[in-house]
Amino acid sequence: MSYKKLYDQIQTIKGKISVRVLRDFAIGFSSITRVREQWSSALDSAFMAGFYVEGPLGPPVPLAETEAMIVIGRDLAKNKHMRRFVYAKELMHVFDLAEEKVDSGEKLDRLAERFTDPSAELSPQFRSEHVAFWRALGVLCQEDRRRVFQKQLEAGQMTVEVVATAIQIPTVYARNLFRSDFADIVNKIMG
Amino acid sequence: MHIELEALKKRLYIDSKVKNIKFFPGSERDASPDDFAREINKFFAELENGEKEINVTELDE
Repeated sequence: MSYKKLYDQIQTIKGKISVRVLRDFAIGFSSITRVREQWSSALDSAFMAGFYVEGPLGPPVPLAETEAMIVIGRDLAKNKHMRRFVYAKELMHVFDLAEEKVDSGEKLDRLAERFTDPSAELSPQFRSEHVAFWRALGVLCQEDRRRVFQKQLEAGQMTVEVVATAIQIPTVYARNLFRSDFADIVNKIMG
Repeated sequence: MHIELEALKKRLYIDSKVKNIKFFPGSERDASPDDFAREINKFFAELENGEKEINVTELDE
């Protein structure tokens, strides 16, 4: 129930939820002991906005078995909201279950294939990418705050663009906070 | 033959024994598995050239 602990903790924070705070709590509630970060100029974010990798990994980025690394493309520099969201989504993989981890070349083949071919097999590894997406949304906006926004949206006093700016994530992702099945989805990913 | 994907798999699972990797693809809809792998390989190549680590979370303060 590690993600649930993070989710509950986040509800006690007032105002903006920084990714540093998310990271520190996520480490506390998962088996990962450290998250290294790299803001890389090598990534072309048209192809890869960011990625998460869990050790053990050798040089040039030695990671112990309980350590992870999140790499974000530096060309997202002008898009702070996207950078926050990509980081938070990748961070949620510290909560992946054993059967959801990509721990072999064969599983990596299947994951990469599914991203490019929607008709390919839906593996537990690919499903966890969706789970991480929703988990990130769940901890980037407190539920109380989300409900206030929802009422304001319904009353025509607010737009999703302004909500997205307030919580500092891209509008295209913020829209998902107001789906009619949002509460159901959050319940399903609470493990 | 996926040259990039094979090189990445060797780095992750033969040279090391990583337990998990996940990613956030970019906006390019026609990206292939080799495109994803190439970007990750580029990251490691850059670090092997001595690129310094910069913390992402510090940029969010």
